[in-house]
Amino acid sequence: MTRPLPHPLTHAAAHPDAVINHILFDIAIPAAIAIHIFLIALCVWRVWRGQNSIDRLIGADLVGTLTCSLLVLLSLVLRSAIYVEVALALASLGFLSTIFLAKLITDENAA
Amino acid sequence: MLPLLTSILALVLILAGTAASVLGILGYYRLPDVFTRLHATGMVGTFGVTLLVGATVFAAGVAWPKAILLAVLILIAGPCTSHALASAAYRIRLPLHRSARFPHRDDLEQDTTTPPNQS
Repeated sequence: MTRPLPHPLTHAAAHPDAVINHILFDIAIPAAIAIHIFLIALCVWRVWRGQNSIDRLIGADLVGTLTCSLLVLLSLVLRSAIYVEVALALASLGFLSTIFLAKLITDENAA
Repeated sequence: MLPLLTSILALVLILAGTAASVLGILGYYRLPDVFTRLHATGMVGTFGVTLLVGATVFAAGVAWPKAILLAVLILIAGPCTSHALASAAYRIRLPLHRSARFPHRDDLEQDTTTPPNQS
């Protein structure tokens, strides 16, 4: 004769560790990933319909930065270090390309 | 399963980083000027990515030297990028918002293509 297992919700409510883990891994991190993908879409829209070249370049730099934070969130979910390395390479490449394009715009448009 | 204090700390850091990114993009959409937009979007690189890296270091603990290297690289690269973009926007004489006031504004705007009495 075995005792019936407790219901998962009551079992979780008995342990605050499980509640916080449920909120963190099942609600907060997927919501943060969805919000970051939405913000990347907003930045791509602003790159397409920008007002001037510097405005578009700010949008392109923001796409790189938000992709870095998205990769950091993915490494937190999947517990893999390879996403942090990809984010490192993406951050350095985005930094160099943004500074190069800013200098190029300055040299071609300066009076 | 993570311990309680680590989970709460990671939750707070992820919420703060996402809120910083949302505020930065909101300023990028709503502010009227290239320079004020740069002022808003500096927060995405500095606070957003750095707080999420802090959450990863506290919660997962995988590859924390690489994560701290990423945070340091972004903390150095973000202000450099903002300065380069603001310098380029100043040198190609992008128009400022009409409420901007600084001492040499007339010298900056005297030979642009916009008429001087444009509101």
